[in-house]
Amino acid sequence: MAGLGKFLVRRALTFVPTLIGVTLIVFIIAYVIPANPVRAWAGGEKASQAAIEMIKKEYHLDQPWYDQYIFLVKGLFTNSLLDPLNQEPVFTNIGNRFVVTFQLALFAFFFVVLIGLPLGIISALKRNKATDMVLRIVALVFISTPIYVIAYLFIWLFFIHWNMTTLAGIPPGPPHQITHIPIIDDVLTLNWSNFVEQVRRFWLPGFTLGIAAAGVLMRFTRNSFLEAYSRDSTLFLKAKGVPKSRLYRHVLKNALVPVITILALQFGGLLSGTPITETVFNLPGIGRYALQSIMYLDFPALIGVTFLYAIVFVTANLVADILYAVIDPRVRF
Amino acid sequence: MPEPIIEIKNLSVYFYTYAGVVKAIENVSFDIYRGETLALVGETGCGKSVTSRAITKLIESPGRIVSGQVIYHRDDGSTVDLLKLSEEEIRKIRGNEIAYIFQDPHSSLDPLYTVGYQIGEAMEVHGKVKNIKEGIAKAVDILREVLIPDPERRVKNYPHELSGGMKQRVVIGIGIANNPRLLIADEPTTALDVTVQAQILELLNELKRKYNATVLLITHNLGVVAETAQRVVVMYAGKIAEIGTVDQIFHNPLHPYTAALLRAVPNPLGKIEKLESIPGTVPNLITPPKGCRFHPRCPLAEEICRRKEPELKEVEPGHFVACHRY
Amino acid sequence: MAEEKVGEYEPREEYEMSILDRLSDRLIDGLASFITLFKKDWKRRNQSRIKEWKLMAYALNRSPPALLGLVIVIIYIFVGIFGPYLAPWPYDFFPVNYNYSTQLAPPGSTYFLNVTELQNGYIVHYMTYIHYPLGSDTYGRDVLSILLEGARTALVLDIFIILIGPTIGIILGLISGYYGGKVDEVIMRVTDMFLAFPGLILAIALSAVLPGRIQNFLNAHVWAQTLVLKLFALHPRDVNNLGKLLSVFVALVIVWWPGYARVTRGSTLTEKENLYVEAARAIGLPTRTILFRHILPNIIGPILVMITMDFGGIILTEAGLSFLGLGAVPPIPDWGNLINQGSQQFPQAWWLVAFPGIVIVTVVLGWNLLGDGLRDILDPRTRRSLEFKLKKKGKGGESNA
Repeated sequence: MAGLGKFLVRRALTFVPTLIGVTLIVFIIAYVIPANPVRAWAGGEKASQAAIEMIKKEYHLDQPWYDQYIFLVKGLFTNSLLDPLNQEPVFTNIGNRFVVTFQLALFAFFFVVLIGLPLGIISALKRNKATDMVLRIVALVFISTPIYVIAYLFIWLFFIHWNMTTLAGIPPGPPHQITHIPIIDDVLTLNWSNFVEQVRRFWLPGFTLGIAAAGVLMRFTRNSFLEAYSRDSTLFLKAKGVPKSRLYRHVLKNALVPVITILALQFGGLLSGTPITETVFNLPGIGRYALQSIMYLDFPALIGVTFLYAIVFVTANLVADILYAVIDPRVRF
Repeated sequence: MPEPIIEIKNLSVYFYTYAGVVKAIENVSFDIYRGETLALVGETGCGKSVTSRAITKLIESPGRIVSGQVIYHRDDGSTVDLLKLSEEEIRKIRGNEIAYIFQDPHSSLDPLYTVGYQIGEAMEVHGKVKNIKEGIAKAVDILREVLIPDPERRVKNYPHELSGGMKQRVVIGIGIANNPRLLIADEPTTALDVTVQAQILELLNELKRKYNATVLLITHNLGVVAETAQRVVVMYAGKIAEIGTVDQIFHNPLHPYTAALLRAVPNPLGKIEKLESIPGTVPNLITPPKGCRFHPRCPLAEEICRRKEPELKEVEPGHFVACHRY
Repeated sequence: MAEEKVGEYEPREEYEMSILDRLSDRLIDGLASFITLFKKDWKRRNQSRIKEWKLMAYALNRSPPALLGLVIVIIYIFVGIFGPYLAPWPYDFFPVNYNYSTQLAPPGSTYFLNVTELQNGYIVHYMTYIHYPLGSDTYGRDVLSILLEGARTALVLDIFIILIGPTIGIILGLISGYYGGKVDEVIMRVTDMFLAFPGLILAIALSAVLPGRIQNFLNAHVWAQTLVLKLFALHPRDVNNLGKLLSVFVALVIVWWPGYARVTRGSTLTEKENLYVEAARAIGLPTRTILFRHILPNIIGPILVMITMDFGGIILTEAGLSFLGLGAVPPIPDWGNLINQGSQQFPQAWWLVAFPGIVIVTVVLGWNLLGDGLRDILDPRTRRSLEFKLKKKGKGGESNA
């Protein structure tokens, strides 16, 4: 697997410009804003001139722009950059919230796969029949429904009406922590009572977050399946006298190659697509942290969050590439 | 009198596309005799492949077989109309009694399975082996038969690890895996390098001799026809123009289209002369020409050709032509 | 075309024409005649293209979901244009000032108002009543009116974002794919940066920091102010809210180009390998002509589908931003903002979430259905695999055999 190591290094190098670029974009946004963030950080209109000067010095705001930028990036890597709002290191804040977001994305991903894959395959198998038409429309409805609309419908149904979920607070993780993601730790330590608590809190936000992605996956799976079905190799299998069930096994395997790589990208998308869901369902995750940092012009935090998002994006792409190479014998590193 | 293995009668296949009904083949009738190599020739888009696929109902939407019969004579003397069989009954014949070799080996094989698996699978689905493991073991013999060197190692290869010629040998191996009565080779050499083409044809000829199989060879290469076939069916624009032995077709072409076709390539059975192209283009099969479909391009067209469709007539024993001049 | 010569060829086996087919024929003929007004002989020289368009339209006419999408889209555009004139109440009339109980009035209720207004410099008193078929918002405004007027906001943003964002992306993609090398590398790295940035976060950040600058620009340029007010059908006294509204526009343009650059680059890379591009270069056509007259028309199919679906995507994102309190803020009529108000009073004021929600879902679904239908028709491979059920017209067919 020496090839794999080389491939990873080569790919990782192409990520560097992307990561630098993303932080640079945030920096430019922060740099050009007319409002004075320092006053906000120092405590609003009543802030004393001395406090403002101190903060300016602390964040190198009295220095030229490149010095400010280097200060921010260096601070990120050494985790010495403090969030001016709570005086905690930015990455410590992010770490605490990432656990919530990751768990939310896991739940969403579960529903995406559970809904998207089978319905997409059924839709393709019943191509151009009534079932297919209905499922295609359902997928489009999923994609067309904004989170901020469906979330309230679900809250009304499952919380107000049937009381099948909780919306306040976050259940603490199990006492014994391995991965620090509560739901995974529950499974690993067989702590079922905490597992149920986590599920009760997270299933609805996860379902809400996942529904659009499930629609996307349904369509992608259907098209991928039909594309594989229309290949010459499928006709040749028929000419070989292969029975239907076995024919579909071939088609499915071929169709799943692109689907699995898309799944990796979708998980990345779910991780970075949480701001509205977390706001509506009152979950203290990364998305809400990003929103807050924008509202309070808290740019050290924003630059940290976007850096994390960029890492998620490049990692998802990398995982997709690796999966592709693992399942498709034609692709080698 | 040679006995037929397949009798195709009045076969018509239409494609119901958004642009209109494409009459891909219309009223096609010919017989395939036991043990012969029959060549089906014509320009691209004249319906050769559609005809060969319709024999075992391998026509996909938006295409449909609208009429006709394909009478199959089994070894025990019984006959059956293949077009009337259920999906499961025809499946048992495909790849078993009637096998196919497709044009492009690069796209015929499933890229995600080893070639051994794909050959073994062909035997497994027809109950020739108990399970896929036994099939893969037997695939080694078949790879040896189609002259692939080092078959023990090759059997574990994926298609992309083989060259084009090797892949086509694998496809041929799948075709002969169940020792079929009829082998339908649909332009088996078109997608390959010129140097490999001869090898593949030779392999086909050899296997045919060895197994005493019947071969339907679809090609637009008249040189190949002269070398391998005993009889020829010439198609033009979805219809049959002429049927005859290789000798009759090459030395005494009756249909003006056949004659033009022979003048357009170096005649493999005659001396090399000046080549001529056929004027005009292949007609659009949504609105084919009335009467004889070749008349807009025919140098000898008369009034009747524009009005009346010529019927297939036997001019000399075994030599049929659809032209008003006979 | 030769095949139209009478008598020489068998008649086409026709599918039965529906009213829609005739209508689409008329439309396409009309369009062709219209183009011919500007380009001499266009109709005669492009007969086969016109024929192909008609055939594509027949395929669309046979897809009920796509037709449903088309109908929804047409209604959306109609309401987007005429909504502000159809609305029973103006968006900047706040009944809550005259009768406090009109705040969050439930659907179907009616209230009396004792209005005191300044009209042409005179103070006017009058009594009137206001009926709320779909309820009222926090300012007592009629939700139905805001929905009708909000269609204009959505449509104008939609059209202008689509006009600018994808155009930038397509141009960059064409350049990147055609030239390759360093140019390609630079453009694609920048594209990657924007793609790595979650679109919503970038849009939120931009709409949070931009309003001030845009407002300053508008205040300095009166013509721009007037134009924007006209486009959005707003009253001149709302001029100070335009900065926020336009910041959404700028933010979404910046978010919306990278996807198009990626897709266009990919298709350009494969398309430029074709011989006709080589030939065009050999006869010395300028690069601009090759890119826009030769390559672009051949790769436009998937891009058009993407654009159609993004009309819906932009509505979703724009309403999402107003849901978060960015962009269009009251009094500017906006669907997402109604949901924002409703979310703070949920579930008491459920109508503020439900009705705008239904409108957003319907319109976005309309664009997606249409885009989905177009995908089947614009892709030559799927188009050819569509099966038409044959219905013979009259006796036609092969009677002469």
